[in-house]
Amino acid sequence: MSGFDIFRHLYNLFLRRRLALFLVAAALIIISVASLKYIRLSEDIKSMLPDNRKDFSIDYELLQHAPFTRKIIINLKIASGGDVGELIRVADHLADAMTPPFFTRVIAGPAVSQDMDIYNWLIKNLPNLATDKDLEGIKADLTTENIRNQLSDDYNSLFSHEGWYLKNYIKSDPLNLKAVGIKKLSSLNIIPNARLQDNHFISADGKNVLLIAETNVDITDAGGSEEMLSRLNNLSEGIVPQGIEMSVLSVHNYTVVNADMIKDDLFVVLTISSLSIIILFIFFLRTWKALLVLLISFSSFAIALFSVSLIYKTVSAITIGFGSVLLGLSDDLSLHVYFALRPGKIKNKTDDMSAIIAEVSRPVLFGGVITICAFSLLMFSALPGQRQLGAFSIIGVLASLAMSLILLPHMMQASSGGKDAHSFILRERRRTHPAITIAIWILLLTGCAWQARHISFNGNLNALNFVPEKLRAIELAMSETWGNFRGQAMIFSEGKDMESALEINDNLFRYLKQNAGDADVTSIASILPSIKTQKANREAWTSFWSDRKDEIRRTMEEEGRRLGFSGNAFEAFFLSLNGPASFIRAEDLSLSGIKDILDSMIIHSDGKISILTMVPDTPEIKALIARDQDIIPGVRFVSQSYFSEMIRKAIGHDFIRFIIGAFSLIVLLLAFLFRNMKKVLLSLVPVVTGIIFMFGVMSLIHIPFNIFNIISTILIIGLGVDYGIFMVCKCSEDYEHDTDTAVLLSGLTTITGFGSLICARHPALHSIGVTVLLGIGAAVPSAMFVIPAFFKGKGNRGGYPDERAISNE
Amino acid sequence: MKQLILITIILLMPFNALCQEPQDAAAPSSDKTQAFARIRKAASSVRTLAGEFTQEKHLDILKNAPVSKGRFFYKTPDCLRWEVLEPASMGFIVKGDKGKRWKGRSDNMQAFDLKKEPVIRIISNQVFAWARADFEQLESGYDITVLGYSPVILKLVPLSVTEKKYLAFIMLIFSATEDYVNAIEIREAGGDYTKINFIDMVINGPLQEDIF
Repeated sequence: MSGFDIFRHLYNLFLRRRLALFLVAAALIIISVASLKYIRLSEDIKSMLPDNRKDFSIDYELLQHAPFTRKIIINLKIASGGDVGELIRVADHLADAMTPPFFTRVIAGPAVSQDMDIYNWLIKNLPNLATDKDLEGIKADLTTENIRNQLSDDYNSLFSHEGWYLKNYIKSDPLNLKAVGIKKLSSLNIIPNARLQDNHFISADGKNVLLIAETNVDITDAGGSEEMLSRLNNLSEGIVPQGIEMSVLSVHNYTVVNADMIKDDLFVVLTISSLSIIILFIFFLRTWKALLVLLISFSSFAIALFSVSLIYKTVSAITIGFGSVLLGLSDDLSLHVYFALRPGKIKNKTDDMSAIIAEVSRPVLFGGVITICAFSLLMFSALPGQRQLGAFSIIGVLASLAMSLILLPHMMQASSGGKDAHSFILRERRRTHPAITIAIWILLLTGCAWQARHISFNGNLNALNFVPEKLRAIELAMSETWGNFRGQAMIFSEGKDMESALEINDNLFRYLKQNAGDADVTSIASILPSIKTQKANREAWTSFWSDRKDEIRRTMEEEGRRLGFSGNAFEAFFLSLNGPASFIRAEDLSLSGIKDILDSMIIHSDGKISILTMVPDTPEIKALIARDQDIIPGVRFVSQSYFSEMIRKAIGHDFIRFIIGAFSLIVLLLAFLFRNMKKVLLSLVPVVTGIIFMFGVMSLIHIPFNIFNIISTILIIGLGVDYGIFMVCKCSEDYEHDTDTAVLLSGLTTITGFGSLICARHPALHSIGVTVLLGIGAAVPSAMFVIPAFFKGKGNRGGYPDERAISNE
Repeated sequence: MKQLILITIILLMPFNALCQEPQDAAAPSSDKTQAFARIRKAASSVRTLAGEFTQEKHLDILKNAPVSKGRFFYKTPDCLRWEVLEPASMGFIVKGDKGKRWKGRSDNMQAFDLKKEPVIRIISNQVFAWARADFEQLESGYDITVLGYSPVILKLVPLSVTEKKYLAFIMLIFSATEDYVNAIEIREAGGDYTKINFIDMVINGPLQEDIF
């Protein structure tokens, strides 16, 4: 008895217990399907981030702290010749109308000049804030002429409509030293190209005004996002006049656009694929029993999902999405069994059926086991989502294998008796000379391999989002107008407490000012230095004024008297030179316009403090930080481009490991199963052909390889090996079970089912479609023509006879 | 922002110079009502005002009481131009909810939204309230006492505790015709005070369109 006789015995065993078999199978399927609604789904993209290095998840979390990640950016642009005052008025009107529940807050500007406390605060805290460089600047300004001019300005301003409150500033800061502090506020400007006018963010050309809105609508909530954006559009229709153009940029836009796009795509794709599969089944199988094959595929999916939900707390939506793609290969096992046992073929319902099962179980089991082994390599992936996907696929293929070899024969047997239609099968026909087939194949493969050298890999997860032209144009316009404030790199100064984090932040700020050239650096270091730095600043301040206070006093009194100031007009100023009563502390800073920025740039997490500094996301800055890590210890550089690069490397490495591992394992298993090198190599023909063809064509038409392509490639490997095994078994052994029809139908259903995704406009779905269409599209013909050509060329038995044709049985 | 309270008072009206000592006793309420009614009636006929002013500053940081000069224009219901000419040129214009301001040459103006300029908003609102003789609005913020009837002299004491910290009172002296304010004195809590006298007032005269 061969090892595969076990399926003959199993078949015979359940012949007398068919009802029990059906009941058990039905119960398992029903439980699995019923449990689906209790599965906890996770849409967290983190499942696709490598977890073998803590860096990735930390960087990912830190990226979420970018100040504009979750905000709604509204740009109002006035036509040329328009009045910026009118633009500001419209912006204010719109901001006032943006109220809860959709909008929790709207910021038109930092509101600094509205809150005079900021000036008092700056004057009072200059001793804490002024650096040596600032003191040099003050020293240069303390000439008699400058003092005279400044006091003259002070005197005149007393008669302006603002003279009432300026009087107090003139008393405490007659030399306008607060200008030094005001310059420091520019380091808090998180929008590079913005200037302030009437407390509004105005573009350099004066034609744009910016509003920044906050909302409670979650960025993953497509319905809520659509309602919120619709509300904003309605408001703009009533408020924004002709001549002013409003554009909106937020993650919510992408959520809505992608959700709509996927809905549209699914309708198109499901319609195409469903119709195609129905047509294929009608054309090839012509009997309702074909539904049994589909039933096994869907049941395998449900059982796999149920099992995964028992193993893992949450099931990644990505696992389900990709898993359904991978399970596309489960139908080739059942199809192969189906074609072997197809209606009308079995004459003796007992003996022939069990013998055929024993025979067909060999390639099916080979294919299934090899696929499972290949998938098992996914369990060693650095990506948790890939590991879950591995578990899901292994269980799914196991279920499919068991149902195809044990359940399907009985289901077909139990449902026989009626008049079966004749299946459409490939029959013998005149074939091209084997040498020509092989030559064409080699040429094609060589060309694709040559072209595949230029394949690129895109690790940017955001690139897999659908971005319509309109949004892309808005992104570009915003970036050109305001600077790339949404795409800046972030440097985090990390400390165990606020003081240590601030010290690191001070060090970083000084370093960037000295080494980063003219790069715009956004940092709180200029307004909130560490206590250590403040102490040093104070000492320098005291020393600076002790050297020249008397001289300055004399000059000011003399010049002031000439203008008409009283003798003790500036007494408060000279008293303040002695320094403030206390140091600046983060918790005490509640100044309007500054507090918001501080809150967004000081991050409390896991018992430590991280302080954010933003810099342009350029290779130069990245290289600078990487080069001088020793000089600026305790900082962490994070940027979207850097993160993408790390992901690209990690996933690329993961993928290479998987491909090499899977190939090695498959070769080993094939060698063990076939014990014949030629059969092993020929079994790999569809896989190699599919992958090289896919790489070559993608490279040719400049489609970068991405994470979705990787998952789809696994499908090509799994299906390709199955096709190879089936065809090698057919060609090399005395085996007549319409294998090529099964391979063709499996390939066609896969191509139409998943290849139809190429019609999708969503990049992720489209990527899967491209991979499957190219890979399976090449694997199927190579299995059907190239493998037999090799056998025929050597005169193997079991090869195709000279005369074959397509006909109805 | 507390200092803004003082500004609410500064430029209150166009208006005739005379700072006489306030009378000790407040007028009976019936007389006060009649005075308000007369002022309201006289103000109702005012469509435009134009004139010059002098501003006398008595501040502790100044050794003397310097006098600045300027001019102002008003047009009902919501146009105002306040312009200091000496010792330096500066000023602002309000027209509805928009405005312009300048420092130095008046052809180098900066536009603003009145809602975002609390200082100018408060000043202009006060001016408009007095021009309309809107006593209801004024009495919501001040205790108004009539110190004299010929001419009408009003003393405004802030009701807000916060405002009281900075402002002791304002005194307004109306013209003989009672259709505009002739002089204002603003007394700060710290002792500083400012006197503004309006001269050469023209009522309902033609104003150039581009003045606002």
